Amino acid sequence: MNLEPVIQNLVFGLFVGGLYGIAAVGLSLVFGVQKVLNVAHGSLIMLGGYATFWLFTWYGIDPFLSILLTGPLLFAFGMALYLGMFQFITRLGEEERIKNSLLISFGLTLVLENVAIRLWTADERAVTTSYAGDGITIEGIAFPYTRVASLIVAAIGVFVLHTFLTRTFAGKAIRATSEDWEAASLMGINVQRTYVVAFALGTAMAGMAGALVSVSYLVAPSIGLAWTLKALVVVVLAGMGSILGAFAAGILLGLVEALSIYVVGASYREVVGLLLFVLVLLVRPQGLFGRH
Amino acid sequence: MLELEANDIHVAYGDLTALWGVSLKVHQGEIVVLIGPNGAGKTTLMRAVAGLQPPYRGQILLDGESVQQMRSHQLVDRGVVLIPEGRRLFADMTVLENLLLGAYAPKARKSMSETIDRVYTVFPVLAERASQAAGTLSGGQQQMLAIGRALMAKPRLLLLDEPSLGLAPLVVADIFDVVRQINQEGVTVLLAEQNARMALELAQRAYILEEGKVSGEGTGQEMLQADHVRRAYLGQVSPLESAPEA
Repeated sequence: MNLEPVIQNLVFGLFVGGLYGIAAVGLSLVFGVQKVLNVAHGSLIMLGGYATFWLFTWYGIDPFLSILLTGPLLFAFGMALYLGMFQFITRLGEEERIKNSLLISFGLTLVLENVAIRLWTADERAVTTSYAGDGITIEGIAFPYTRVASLIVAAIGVFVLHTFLTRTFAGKAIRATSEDWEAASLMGINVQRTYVVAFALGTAMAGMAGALVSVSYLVAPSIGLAWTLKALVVVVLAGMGSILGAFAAGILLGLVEALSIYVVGASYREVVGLLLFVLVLLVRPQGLFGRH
Repeated sequence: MLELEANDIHVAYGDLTALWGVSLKVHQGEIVVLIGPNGAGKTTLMRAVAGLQPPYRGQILLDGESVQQMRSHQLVDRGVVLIPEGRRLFADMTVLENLLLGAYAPKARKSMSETIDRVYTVFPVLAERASQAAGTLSGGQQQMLAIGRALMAKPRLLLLDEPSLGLAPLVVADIFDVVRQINQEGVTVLLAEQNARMALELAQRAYILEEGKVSGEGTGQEMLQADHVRRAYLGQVSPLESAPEA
């Protein structure tokens, strides 16, 4: 059997996995810190994708550079969302919180999707840079520039977030709040403010993911739920509380999907992730990198 | 001058009232002890004072100012620090990270490095294990870390909820020694404890809490002598009662 296509597939699996990872990181952060399951996360990715697309189309700003704009933009949007909607459910008990967050964020998905259709039509968009088709080939394996750059940018984003959470006082406060919010408040940590920051950070990560999606995939108002689903699978795979774990699990999912086409065929590729999801829930409910 | 005063506070969890009009006072420099059976409301009272469970009726005054609507993080910056029941450490984080988080409040953060030296002097074992995850410490060490973390906040009023829970008697004695030492350094202490004898020996004053109400108060010594306390909390019977009946 000729190995070259297999390796090429794995390389693409790695690139796709990096996207899954960056898509999941923000969701994992928000779920881990405030036990809010934001199924609108994919729609926030969609918004990030559109922001990147329009910045590129109107002003010619490179999609990778524009992350420096879309990130803060989505951060601010996340703050507004939290203060306007989600803060009311983080005052509830944990069980009520998850149920209500599902309802609210599902509603938010519908709103964002329809607003996007109204504003930008249902057309599929993609950012096509001047270097879009280019790449390098090593031993017959193609490495497109946009894909390589996406993976690197995603890794940098995850690394920066991880460093923030582990090395800074504000980051430690977020981790403490995610472990035990009451104990955190006894340290003098303003829990509601921590929630705002964590939610906004999660939204900014979605913006970043959206930027990377827009260069390799399509952006359309309806892509939200598909990305939410991918991100959810990755978060369950990884387990709660680990940002690096979520990124690693994303890459793992990308690789498994890539390999699965040799086992189940390309048409069932999407099912493999869901099977993995169920399998992990059955065998290791705390996730591959989870703590409890 | 620090003074804590609770006036007729009622606290409920949902529809369930746990404190029915409790009043108590803690003066600057005192060690005041709350004793009482499980479920009497000791923890609820501590949580109310710390701002975790605001009373629906009554007042909590700190230095004469009403604070019952303040949230716990605001009270920490005013020097009211609770070491909760069960310690509630950040188990996945290191000992050092736990200590640093203790100094999160703005006032405490300024003198963080001096305070941490002081905590390490009181508990050298915490310095040895600084980079270890808090969850891997023994029970006694965890209680030391909980106290050390609270000291990082530079408390004026330290609230300790059941520090002896689950610890060996010798370790409990150590912990109580530390509490006495902290108090001698000027920190006012309110201690809720089921281990009544040791607590009362430590206390200047004590309150008995039963079924959500204060059912007795006095100095530590008075309480150790009181019949009701001896019978219910010290496992002793008075000489009169133990005398043969006929």
